[in-house]
Parts: sequence; structure tokens; C-alpha cells
Amino acid sequence: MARQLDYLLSEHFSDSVGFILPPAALRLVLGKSVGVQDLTKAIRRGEVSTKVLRSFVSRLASEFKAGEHLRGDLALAALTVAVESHRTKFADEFIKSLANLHVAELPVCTRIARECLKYRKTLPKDLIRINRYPHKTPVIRLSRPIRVRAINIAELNMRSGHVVRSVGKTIEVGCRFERTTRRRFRSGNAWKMKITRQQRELI
Amino acid sequence: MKELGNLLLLDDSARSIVLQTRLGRSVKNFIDPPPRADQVWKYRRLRDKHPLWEERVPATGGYNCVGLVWASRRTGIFDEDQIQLVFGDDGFRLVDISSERLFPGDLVAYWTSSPPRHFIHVGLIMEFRSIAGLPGQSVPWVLSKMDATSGEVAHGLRDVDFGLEFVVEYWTERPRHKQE
Repeated sequence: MARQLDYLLSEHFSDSVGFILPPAALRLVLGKSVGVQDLTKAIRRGEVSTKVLRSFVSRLASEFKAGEHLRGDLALAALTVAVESHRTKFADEFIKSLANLHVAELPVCTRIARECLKYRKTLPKDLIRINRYPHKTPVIRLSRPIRVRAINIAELNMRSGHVVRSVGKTIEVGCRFERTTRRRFRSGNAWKMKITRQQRELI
Repeated sequence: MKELGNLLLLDDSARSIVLQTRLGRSVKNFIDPPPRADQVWKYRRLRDKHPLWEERVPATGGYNCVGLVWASRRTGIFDEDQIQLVFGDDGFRLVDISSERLFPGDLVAYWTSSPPRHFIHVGLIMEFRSIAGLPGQSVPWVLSKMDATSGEVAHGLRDVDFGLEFVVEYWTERPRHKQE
């Protein structure tokens, strides 16, 4: 199993999260935790596959004992937050299935799943994700010489189709979405990072 | 999702009781199972990071901070909308400590400091303790239960660690004429 998933079951992770706050606040704590952030990156980079995630969930679910808190309750909650913004079949199934459970033995992950579902960004029905990108674009393509650190680009797993634009002190990097009538940049699905004034001037 | 296996076949097993606000509206609540041994140990490790905390009840399940304050330790209330419902229906009002003094029995509520505002924790003011070296100054001493598997502890107002920036609010259902 991936070390990022193993870590979610560790005492260290549990202690770093601290007391189990109400779901809305706990979601924020989990989102800020190093364990969840590492896992999110690992999933995005493909280091942790869906197969591994499914087997992790399956293993934890098999430890269920009636009348007892599930051992992996917090780990499942952390995984929910980690995949909250992922638009994959696994993320969809996992969050929705947990959110629909009302089982006393899984109090934390089910509440967090219901919370994540509220925040999970869904595309409006008149928006579709497209895989080809328009040639004429009001925002700057990655092929232009912008001085974003290479490590950031690697972390963001950007491809040539991705686009960037400057918004105040941050640049937004993301996929393009197309509305049936007009194109628009959907910043909700963009990653954001700080750049210096010098870097901004180059854009 | 088939990986969740038999969990998907389980009936709704979350236990709850009948609980209503003063205005008679139902409050969603859940009685969580007792803590596992590792949860008890976790609570003890976290408790030991706060040497000034005084433990009233060791780690126990069944209720959380909100349940301690508003449901007499019989159940837990977790949803933020339910907490807002109780604040509204039970006639609570914010106390402005610049113009009004606090009393034992008033509530201390912790909220996230950055928007969107989320509820973090609530406790009951038990007493006021003087601060060493600062004569005439005192700090509220709060009774609360940090989570649904922890124990009940008495702690200083800000001697808490939620892993989030927080703001403190004082709430009471006392009428305003008790102002000083």
C-alpha cells in the first residue's frame, strides 16, 4: 500500500489532526494537514492509483465490527477530503456512498463526506469539459516564456493544453471549459500559486 | 461502491433521541459509540499537552461539546445548522464584554476566524480565575468536552488547540437588565 495511505492510519497523523471537531471545521483541519495534502498530490501525479485506493477502502471496510468505532474512520475521512476536488469515478462513488451511510460506527467519515459533498465543485449542466483547446485564447499559453519555477510546473502536472492567466498577485493555471454559447475560464477548477512582481511582469 | 462491502447493506444504525429547541423544533442528534482504546490513548496524549487542564470525566462516548452544553450529556449534536438553530430558538444573544460582565453559566463559542465562519467548539463558563501577576484581572474557566470520544475538562479560555485560527464569542440567554 502507498506510504501516503499508510500514514493516514498512523498515530502521528491522528495526533496531528487533534480533536475531532464538528464536520465543517474538521474538513478544514484535514485539508490543511500534511498527510492529506501529500495524498492529494500523489493521487494527482498518479503515484497512488485508483486500484490502490479501492483496495485501501476495501481493507478498512472489512475491519467493521458492530458497536465499535471503525479503526479507519479518520483515515476514510482524510481520503474523502483528499479526493474532494477530483473529478474521477472513484471520487464520485466514494464520497456519495459514504455520505449516504448513516452508520454509528463510522461517525467521522460519513459526516465529512456529507460536508465534502456540499463543497464538491460540480460543473453546471451547461458546461462541458473539452479535451481540445482553442487556438485563439485571451490567456497566455504555457509555451510562452513565463518564469514559473519548474518545480511548480511539475507539481501542477501541467500539459500543453493548460492555460495560465494573471489575477492580481496570483496566476491561475487550469483547464479550459467551454460553454455552449461562449468560452470562459473556470477558476474554480484552477490551481493557484503566488508569483513575484518580476514574474508577473513577464506574463 | 462495492469496496465498502457490507457497510452498504447496513440499516441506519445511528442512534438518536428526541431533542427539541425551546420553540419545539427538532434537533438532529447522534449518540456515537464509546471510544476504542486507541482513541482513549489519543485523548490522553492530547490532554497531556495541556498541563493546566483539569479532568472532570475521563474519555467517554455518547456526547460532544454541544451535547454537554445543550443536551445534558445525553447525545451529540454535530451539524452546524442544528447548532445555529439552538442558538436562535433558545434565545441566546451575544455578550459584548466591553459593556457587560460575564457570569458562570454563560457560554463560550469558538468559531473559525477566517470566512466562511464555521463552528468549532462550545463550553460552559464555570468560574473566573485570577491571572498570576495581574491583580484584578481574571480569565473565564471553561468546562467542555473536546470531541465525542474525549473526556470532560476544565480549561482556560484560550488554552485550547484546534489546529485552526479561531475567534471566541460569549453567548448568554440572560436578559439584558443584568448589565453592570
